[in-house]
Amino acid sequence: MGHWIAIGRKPEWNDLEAFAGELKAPTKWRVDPRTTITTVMVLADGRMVAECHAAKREDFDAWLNQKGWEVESVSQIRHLAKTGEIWKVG
Amino acid sequence: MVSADALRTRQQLHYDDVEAGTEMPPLVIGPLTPTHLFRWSAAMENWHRIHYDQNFAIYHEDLPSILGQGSWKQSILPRYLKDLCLPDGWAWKVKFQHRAMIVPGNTLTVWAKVTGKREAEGLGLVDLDVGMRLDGDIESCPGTATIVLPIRGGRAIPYPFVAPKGA
Repeated sequence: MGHWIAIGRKPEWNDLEAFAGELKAPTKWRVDPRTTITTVMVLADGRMVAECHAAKREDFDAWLNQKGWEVESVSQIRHLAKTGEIWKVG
Repeated sequence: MVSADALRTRQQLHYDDVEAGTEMPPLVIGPLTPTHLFRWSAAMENWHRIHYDQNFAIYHEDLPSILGQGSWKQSILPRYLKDLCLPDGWAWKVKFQHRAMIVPGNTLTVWAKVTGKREAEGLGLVDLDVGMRLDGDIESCPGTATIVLPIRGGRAIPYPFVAPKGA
């Protein structure tokens, strides 16, 4: 499995209610048994960051496309720190 | 939430009341939260991190989130069948498979449908298809069960239960 980060825009998701409607239910973030949207952040400058783990990047691309994101970049994650926990994921 | 007293005094479902195709009232549980999962881990002393440590589950195990415990599912289906049979019936046997992961946010619908019925030694045996559906109609625990329901005017179901020979 790989982990990817996308940066882009989806203006409608600046509205918290719309954002929750698109992402709260498990069927919204468990896209399929092998594709999970683990994090989505809405930034103050209007951009958004989404993290996905999936069998292949195309599965993440398909989700971004289906949601209508204007994608700036998608990159694979090598390793990360989460409040002091270090994870190698790439 | 159903109280224990309500279960002890609930209206008995009889063998005579069901036939092949009868759908039993479902039990809906959820949406599950991490607290539900952690409570079960604590009760069972199951400290595997996939059940309470989300970072570990996602970044080490490549799981979608923390997972509901198989032992929890194994407690829910018998509980559901037991509740269907109370106060005087008996949930005799159940077997099922674990086919889909349960994550926080899931709402579960535990269900049973009668596939057949038969009498043995004066007891009313009811065969069921059972399962636990997740959001999106995903079946996570398909299986089968046999419960014993009182026959109107028939003999009492023994307690402790004694299985009829050859059934």
